[in-house]
Amino acid sequence: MNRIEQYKIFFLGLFAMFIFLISGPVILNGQNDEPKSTQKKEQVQKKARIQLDYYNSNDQEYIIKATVKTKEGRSYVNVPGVPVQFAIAAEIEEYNVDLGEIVSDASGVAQFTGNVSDLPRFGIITIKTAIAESADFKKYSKKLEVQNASMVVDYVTEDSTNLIKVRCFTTDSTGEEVPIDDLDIKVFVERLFGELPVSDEFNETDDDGYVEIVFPDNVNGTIGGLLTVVVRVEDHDDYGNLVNQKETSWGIPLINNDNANARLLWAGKYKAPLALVILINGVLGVVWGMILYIVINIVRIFRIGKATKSTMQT
Amino acid sequence: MMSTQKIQLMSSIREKVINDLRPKPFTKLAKMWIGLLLTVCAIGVYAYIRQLQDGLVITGLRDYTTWGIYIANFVFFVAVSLVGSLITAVLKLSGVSWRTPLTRISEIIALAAILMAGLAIVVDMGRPDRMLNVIFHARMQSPITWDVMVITTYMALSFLLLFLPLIPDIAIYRKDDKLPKWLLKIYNFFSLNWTGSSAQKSLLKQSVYILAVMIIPVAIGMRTVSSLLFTTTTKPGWDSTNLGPYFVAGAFVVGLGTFIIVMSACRKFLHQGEYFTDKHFDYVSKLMVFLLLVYLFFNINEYFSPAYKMKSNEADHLNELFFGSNALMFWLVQIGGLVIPLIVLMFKKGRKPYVAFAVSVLIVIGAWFKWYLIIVPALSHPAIPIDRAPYEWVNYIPTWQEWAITAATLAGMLLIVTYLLRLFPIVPVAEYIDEQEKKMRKS
Repeated sequence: MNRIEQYKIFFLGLFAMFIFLISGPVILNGQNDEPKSTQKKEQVQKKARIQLDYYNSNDQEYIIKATVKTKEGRSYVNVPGVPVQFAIAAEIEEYNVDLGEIVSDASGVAQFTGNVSDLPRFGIITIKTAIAESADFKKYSKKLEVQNASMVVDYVTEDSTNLIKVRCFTTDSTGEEVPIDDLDIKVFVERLFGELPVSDEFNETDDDGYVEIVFPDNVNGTIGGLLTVVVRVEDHDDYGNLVNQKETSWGIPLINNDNANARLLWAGKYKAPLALVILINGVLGVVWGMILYIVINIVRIFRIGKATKSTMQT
Repeated sequence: MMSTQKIQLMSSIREKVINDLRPKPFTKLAKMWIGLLLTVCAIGVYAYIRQLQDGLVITGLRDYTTWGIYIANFVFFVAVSLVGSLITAVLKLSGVSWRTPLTRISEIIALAAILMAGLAIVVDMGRPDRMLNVIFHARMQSPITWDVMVITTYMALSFLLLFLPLIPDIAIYRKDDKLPKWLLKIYNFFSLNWTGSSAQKSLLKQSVYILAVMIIPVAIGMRTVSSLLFTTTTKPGWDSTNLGPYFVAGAFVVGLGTFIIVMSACRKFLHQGEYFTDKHFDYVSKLMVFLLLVYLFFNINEYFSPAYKMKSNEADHLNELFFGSNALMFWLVQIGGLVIPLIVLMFKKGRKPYVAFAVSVLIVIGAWFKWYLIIVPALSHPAIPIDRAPYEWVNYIPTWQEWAITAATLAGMLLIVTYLLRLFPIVPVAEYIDEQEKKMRKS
């Protein structure tokens, strides 16, 4: 191999090294931190779904609750931050109201609240919700048809018995009340993390749309015996959810069992049962007393040795 | 009056014993052994630093299994430490004469194990900087407070039980030219001006006797309090009145198993076959048979009644142990770590040093996994399960950091044992010589 060939190989090597050094940052720069599968997914618009619920609360306000969901893997997850358009239409009087747009919150819920008096009293009401096409989601809409029903509830006490008198009805075009029969009424009381069912399983309205429910006398209330009673018709095909709630004094008053000063096994650290304190400290005292005695013996052994040694030296 | 011949014989025995039991420098093999242990410790320290930086999230511990192999390890160490009270105290007070050469090893194991038990608890803490809160903010009603108290007490007793009988021994060697100067300085300091006067001997004898009497209830109390950490809850598998004696019996078994392993190592590598004879292995193995039988009895008690009743919340736990994902480990532990050792040690050939050693290894490994089986499966089946709990909450899988830290504490215990065996005579020299002289006088 002559010198020119050697130089050729040398420069070729240098060139290869240069390409290698350049290619590294270029390749790295071109790479995205996220895996390819994620990138591919992001390009595809997801299908969003809306779970739509209608609530009539105390016959005063209505709530339209739209829960935005999308499928991830095998299960549905709620999606926050999605704008949902709300509208209401009715088959009479060309009632058609655009309620506007609400963005779903952290739990994926977009909720509209309005006055029941603003809704038509009779006929079918169509609640319309929609998600507009975006980079993330395909266009989607969902409708729910309900009738405006009323649930009038009286909370009365008769002969020491607490009664919940419920009457459910709709209104026809002439303004007459039309009773709703066979409605399943459920009674709950509000608790810290949810509602506690307190009624029997079957409380159905009769032909007059009426039912009388005996409220149990063994439900604990606050210190004043206060309870928030909630009467519900849940997820009815025609009327949605009807809710009525009222604070009553039907609960058993809470007796504040003040154990703060009692010495108990489950009390604070300064309130341990005296017997336990004496027992534990007694046992510990005996054992550590013995240990102390042994330590004193060790010191005595040391001193005896020291004295013996000094005697021997003198 | 003793004959001159007898006095000469006694003197020669004394010299021989002192010569035989003089602490010897580490051999090449011992250095390699220490290197291995230090490596394991270093990996454990690295893993623990990671845990300190990132928190317990790097472990497999979650809302269900809040006690994993750290607590299994803690319970194991506490169990091993009971050997000190068994060999030194129980056998001493029972007047067993053959136990004299064995006491030092048992005391060393006890101290090393209880020190590591304390450390095992600290590594399980998410915030070890708050460790002293256990003392400053202690609730007298809590079994954890009792555990801290009793372990600290046992630690002090174990230290004294090792230290006191050492005083006359290190006094014998404190002017020995064949030992390195740094060791002589240590001996000189700790021999407490021991002259062997009758006043000193009397004080020492009295102190050791008090310790021997006191350490037995404290040891049993410590083990019972450890069991109370479990039985004061209502978890399936722990809600048992049998657990206290069961823990004590298991602790004596694993403690004695560890002792046999260390005694075998001393016999083999420190060439002390004259002091740890076949007879000693035979006696200790017979003691092991007795302890295994008691332990087997408590084992049957522990599982038979709940299995017969199969109460709904216990059934899941027991099915998991007997037939489920923990079944292989459970039956290996019961059969390999309990039944087979029991059968082998019943035969004379099974009580030979090598066989006893092998069987003890089985017992100790079985015991470690036994504590794992007591803790983890019970936590995986809570009385009130969490709705839709994530997979990793229900299925505890220890991470490499947990294994590394656990291995490091085990290596740490062996390291302490190795160094103490190097620093001090492995047999109580003075007591042994006294006994030999008494025998001579009688004969």
